[in-house]
Parts: sequence; structure tokens; C-alpha cells
Amino acid sequence: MRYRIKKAKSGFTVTVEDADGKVVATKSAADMKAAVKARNELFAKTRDT
Amino acid sequence: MGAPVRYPFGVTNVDSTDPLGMFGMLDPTKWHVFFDDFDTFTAGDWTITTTEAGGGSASEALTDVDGGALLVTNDAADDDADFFQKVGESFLLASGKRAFFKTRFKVSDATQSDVVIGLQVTDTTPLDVTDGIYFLKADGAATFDVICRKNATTGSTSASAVGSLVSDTFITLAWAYDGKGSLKYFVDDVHKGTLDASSAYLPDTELTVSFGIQNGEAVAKTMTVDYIFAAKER
Repeated sequence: MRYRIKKAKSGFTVTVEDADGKVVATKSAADMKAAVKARNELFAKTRDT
Repeated sequence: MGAPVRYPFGVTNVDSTDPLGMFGMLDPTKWHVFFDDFDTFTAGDWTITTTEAGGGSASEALTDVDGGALLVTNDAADDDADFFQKVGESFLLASGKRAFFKTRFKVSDATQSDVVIGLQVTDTTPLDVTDGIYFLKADGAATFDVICRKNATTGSTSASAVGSLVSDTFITLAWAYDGKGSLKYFVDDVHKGTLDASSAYLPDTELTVSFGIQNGEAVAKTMTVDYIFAAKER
């Protein structure tokens, strides 16, 4: 899995990608702090370990 | 270069009554061993935490280095990062079981970067995990620390500035847990000191091979990993 924060036109996009690179979950965030929080939440829900 | 010592009937590390007692090679099941020379790389084998605030993309790919190496390149904003943790936490350190970690790597900027490498619990904040035994270099200095941490809030011990990175120069880091409460750490194969790895500090949860780099300024930084070795006695 890859937990990615990427700059968007406005704010940031947080994605979770599976082993094949397919996006399996997405969230938007207004700033980096919110993006990190969103990533942590997605990690807690989807972690594969 | 001398000639090999020859044992045509084999060599063993087990008793004659052992199932592999007459196996002509060492019993590999006595140790759990991870070794990646980065002759190959499959992204799906790793949990990857990536930050790309620079508008570009991070990348990770095999690169042309003798011995095989993985080149990790960040996006270009400050604090952009790429962290790798092998899927499956497969190392549970335990009293009575020796364990070892050794790696060789380099980074493009020894000062303007955060770097981590070692065994850690899987987390999206590898620079500040709750459990692990790892080397950590903070942004703004070339020196790095070694940390032995069990549940961050209750047991963490470390040694500061145990060595220094040099930009674009390979370094070898290692640690060895003796199974009896001591953790020796090494820089370029030289013993630099020993940490208390008693039950107060020894991680008590499964860990995994972890490494990565975070930019210390708004310039894309790179990390080149030659190899990672981790082993624990069964």
C-alpha cells in the first residue's frame, strides 16, 4: 500500500493505493496538517500489516 | 587471494540426531533472515508513505550501482518525503534471541534532510514511531542518533551524534542485540557504543525493515540504498 499526499489545484489530495497502484481510497484536505490527519485516518482503516 | 577451505562432506550447525543432521549445509531455519541487495525491487512489497507537496512526484527505482541499489528521489517541496516499510512486521525481538541489522546507503544532502533506517513498527510517521530500533538523522545536522524504543511514552533510550553522514558518500550502519539486554551499534563496521536494551526499552511488538528520507529544504533529496540485512535467532 502507498499512502500519498499530493498537492492539488486547491489544497491536497490524500490517496491510498494498493500493490498494483490502484487508488482504493481518497480524501481531500485544505492544508498539509489536515492532509496528514487524513492520511493517518486512512492508514488506520486500511493498513495491511 | 587464498584458496577456499574445503569440506567435501559438508558443514553443519545441528546435532547428528537433528532432522537436518546429515544435511551437508548449515541449517538455515535456525535464523530468520531478511536480506535485500536491491538487484530487484517491487513497490508492492512495501508500505510506502509519500508526501508530494512540490507539485511533482517522488520516485523509487533500481539504479546502476555495482551490487545493486534502490534510488529514492523526493518531490521538491520542503518536508516532502518517501518512506518504505516492508509489508508484514516479521521481527519480534525477544530476550534470549540475538538479532542483527546492517545497511549501506547514502543520501544526496547530509545536512538538509531527515533520514531514518532500521526496524520499526509500521506507521505513517517513521521519523517518530512508537517502537523500533533504528538510526535517525534530523534536518539541519549531519550527525545521527541511534534509538531503541518500546512504546514511545514509556521506554525509549538513545545515543546522540554517534556518527555523521557525508553528502553522496556511502556509509554502513549496524546494530547487534545480544539477547541479554545490550545493543551494540556500529558505524562503518566500528563499534561506537552500547545501548541498554533491557525489557524496559526492547520493543515488544513486531517490527519491519524501514527506511526513508524527508527533504530539509525545498529541494528534491535522494537516498540510495545498497543493501539491508536483518536477522534474528529462532
